[in-house]
Amino acid sequence: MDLQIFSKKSWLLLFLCALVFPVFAPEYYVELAFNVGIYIILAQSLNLIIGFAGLLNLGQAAFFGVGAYTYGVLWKFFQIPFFVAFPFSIIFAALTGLLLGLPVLRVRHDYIAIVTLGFGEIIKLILNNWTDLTDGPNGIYGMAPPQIFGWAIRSRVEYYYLVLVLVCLVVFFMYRLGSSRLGRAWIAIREDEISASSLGIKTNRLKLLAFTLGAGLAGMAGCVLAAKHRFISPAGFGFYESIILLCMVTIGGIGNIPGVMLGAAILYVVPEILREFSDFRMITVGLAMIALMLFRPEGILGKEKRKTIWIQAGRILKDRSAP
Amino acid sequence: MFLQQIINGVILGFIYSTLAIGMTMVFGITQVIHFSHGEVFMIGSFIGVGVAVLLTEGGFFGGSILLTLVITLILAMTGAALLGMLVDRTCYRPIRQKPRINSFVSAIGSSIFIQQAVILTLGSKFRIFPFLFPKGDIHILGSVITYAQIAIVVVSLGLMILFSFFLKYTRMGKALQTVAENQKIAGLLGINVNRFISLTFLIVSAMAGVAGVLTGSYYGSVDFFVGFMAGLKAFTSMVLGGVGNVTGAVLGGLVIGVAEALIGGYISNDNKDILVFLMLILILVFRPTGLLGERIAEKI
Repeated sequence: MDLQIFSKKSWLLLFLCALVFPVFAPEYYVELAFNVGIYIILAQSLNLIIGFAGLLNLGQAAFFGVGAYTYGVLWKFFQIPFFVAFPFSIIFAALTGLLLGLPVLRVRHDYIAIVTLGFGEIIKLILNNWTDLTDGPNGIYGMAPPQIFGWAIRSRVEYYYLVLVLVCLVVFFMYRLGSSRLGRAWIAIREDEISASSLGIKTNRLKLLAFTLGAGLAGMAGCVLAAKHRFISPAGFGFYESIILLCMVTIGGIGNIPGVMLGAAILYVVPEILREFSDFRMITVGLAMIALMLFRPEGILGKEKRKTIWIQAGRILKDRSAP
Repeated sequence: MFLQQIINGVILGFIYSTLAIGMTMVFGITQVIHFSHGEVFMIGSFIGVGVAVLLTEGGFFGGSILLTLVITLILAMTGAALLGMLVDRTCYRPIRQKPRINSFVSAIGSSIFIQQAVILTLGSKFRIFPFLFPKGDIHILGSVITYAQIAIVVVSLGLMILFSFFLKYTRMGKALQTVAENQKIAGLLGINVNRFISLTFLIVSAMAGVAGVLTGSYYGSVDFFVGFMAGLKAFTSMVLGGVGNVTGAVLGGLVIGVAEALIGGYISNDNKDILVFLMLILILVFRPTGLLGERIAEKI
């Protein structure tokens, strides 16, 4: 994979900027940055499924919802604190991913999108209709803030650092995964499944793994969001949410880790700045998806385009020096 | 009661079939899942509401129901057909040679775009659709069939028969089949492939427009979200019948319609959609080629 878009130095610089960000920025921007962080994790989780393994998933918001509701329900019935519920959120979301992965193994191409779409709608309807467990459309509220050794995470800045740690872990995880044997096997499956399986790659097992890991990451984001907002309702985990995530991934370039981070930031921050035009948010998402597919299917940080530019530049130089 | 549910289901099924034929034709010819077909249906419905309200309130044609219905249908067909062709031209044609994931993402984008455009221009509230059918009903075996239901069956069945006749016996229909079989060969035989793809979108979108008007008037209201649900169910029908198979799409639509009515009537109306989506997943898992589809080996 082409991972040289950002050098180590620029990653370090970005990290340092993020580290000192709350010292200078007003509270509102810290809140904004927290949400961007959540969306970066979510977009990366979808990037793992779509970008690495090539499985077009339109139900990612369902995993997000399962993670959030795991914490919500555990809190509602057993008053289980955040850091105990946190692994359960990841595990339950991952199990949901595994469950969705099973039917997906049987279908190909665009059908995967439809199966996952249907699955996402089912999860949302269950959250809505199973009122004994989830309180239906009213949602669950009043979850306790996370506590570590008696120190409660309450302020925006503290939440920001929590999510910053998670984002760093996820991005590092994605990079290591992308260049690992596993990641390369996924790319082989994405490019040509039949060839991959004839090379001895266990395609079914790896596809399931992609769904499980991607869902687990999304569940983690859901758990943190539930703790921060102290309120969850099914409305935040529907089809539109999945589409926004898909758009973040396509903007950044499918499979492109820094690109997807940028895509998540753009798609969250721009509508936030243009609040008075918030009605236009989804229509722009729709338009962006069409435009990107028509003009820049590799995303705004697309590597293909850059490569061809360099190749063209090389050719021009060669032609000049030839005679 | 049971028979009544079946009748309601069949009516619903005919509407799904009309949409599913469109999806299956588009898929057969361009290999694209026409995700915004439901939206074309919705736009047809909205055009229908506008025209019908104008005509009934304006008192044109001396309040003649039949004439109002016909005019509404024609205008809705025209609008829907134009929209369908526009979607093909802008979202599918430029990337026809690219990987399928691209055109699918573009299709989702177009669907979201049309939905949102409707919300922005017409609002997200539902509109009341005037009743355009003759009033009255027939009683058979203790169940009621209204004239409206008969009209829906007659119109959609008529369209289907007309369409299959066109496909089988006319020169253009045969050319269309050639395009579906192999675009390159069709091109070599002197068929203008792009024009025939446009023609397909024209025909199927016009049919969706008709379905939009009939459904809207039958159920009495239209909102921006009807297309999404109808589109998903039409897709389910298409898959159930076997992708690319027109007869299968009709059969699939009827099965889904009846199943939905029975589930809604006997099991749970709230969880109706969960069960329909579950059905979709189960069909795709256990019989991905559908009821009438043949198993095709994956090409390398």
